[in-house]
Amino acid sequence: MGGLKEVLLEAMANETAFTIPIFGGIGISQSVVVSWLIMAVLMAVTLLLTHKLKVRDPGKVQIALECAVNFLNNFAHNNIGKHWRPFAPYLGTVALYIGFSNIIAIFGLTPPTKDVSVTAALAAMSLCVIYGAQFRYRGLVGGMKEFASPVWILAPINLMEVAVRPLALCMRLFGNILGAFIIMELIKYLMPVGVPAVASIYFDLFDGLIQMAVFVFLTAIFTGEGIKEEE
Amino acid sequence: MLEFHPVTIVLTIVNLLILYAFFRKFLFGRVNAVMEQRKAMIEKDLSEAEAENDRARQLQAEYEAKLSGADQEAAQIMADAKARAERAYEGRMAQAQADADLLTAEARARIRSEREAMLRGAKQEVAALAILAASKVAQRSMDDNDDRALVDSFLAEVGELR
Repeated sequence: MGGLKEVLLEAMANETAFTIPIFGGIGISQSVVVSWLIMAVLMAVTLLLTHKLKVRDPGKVQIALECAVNFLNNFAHNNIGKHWRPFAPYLGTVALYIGFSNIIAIFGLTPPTKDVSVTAALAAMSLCVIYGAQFRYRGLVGGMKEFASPVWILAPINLMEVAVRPLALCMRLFGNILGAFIIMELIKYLMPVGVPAVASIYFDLFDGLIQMAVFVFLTAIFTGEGIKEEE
Repeated sequence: MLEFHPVTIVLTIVNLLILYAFFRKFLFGRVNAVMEQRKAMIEKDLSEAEAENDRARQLQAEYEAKLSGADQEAAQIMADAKARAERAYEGRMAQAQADADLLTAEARARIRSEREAMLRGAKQEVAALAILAASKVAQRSMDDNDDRALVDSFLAEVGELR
């Protein structure tokens, strides 16, 4: 069973892809490299799809694109309220990045979201968006007061949430993707033929997309909670 | 497994910011702009169509007003023409009536005068015959005035008897 142990350890480890030999060596992890790859592909596809949009008589691809953007806008509007506009692009960016990161294992790459540092960065960004929006749209005093809502006695819990929310976002995403990745590695080790393809549909595709939706949805809801009633 | 690498965290945040800026400009910005443009275009088309409709309706009302005016005018003209024709007809009829009356009266007068002349002639003839007959009876001529007066009175008697 030595091989199995090795597989498990390898699945859990975050490899360093290469090291930049300055400041005593900056290790660039594999997750960052895969992220760059994902970003490059997303950017290239974006430029390809949006370089000639037409106001009149859009093509099928453009209609699909518009439907998706429209869906995103509606989603942001429903969950965030009237100040949804600046948040929709961020939510869409995070959705695309996490979505592709989660399902990249299908193409044989290591999902960046299996690295807790990446999910921590995503959660930190969500933290900034959620509480940044709260103070941006309510002012310093209003933002502070929001912590004492709906009643002042809940203030400790609300303050605790500042830490709990990003931690939960970070660990949920990381745990799900790492778990799915480990299970897939085990299946591949034990039954290399046939079963991985079927299991991959659930563990990589379905679970990955669900976790993406959960992350984006929670970020949107928390952001909306902070600024919604202000009308 | 649960090690936080500051480099990875920072790089991921930078990655996200770059990706966000890129998508904001080239994906969501462009698509939203196109959708806004289409919305504006449709709204413009709609308002234009509405304006056009209003104009058409206004024109229609104008034409209808004009048409009804024309109808009234036509009716007026017809009524005038009818009245004029009636007047002319009546005048013509009165003229004809008068002509006919005149003719009838003339004819009647002529007939009466002719009849009187005929009667007078017949009377004279009868008187002459009576005188001839009487002179034949009396075996003498009765052409003097006394006899004629006698015959005339006789004839008058006979006329009264009849």
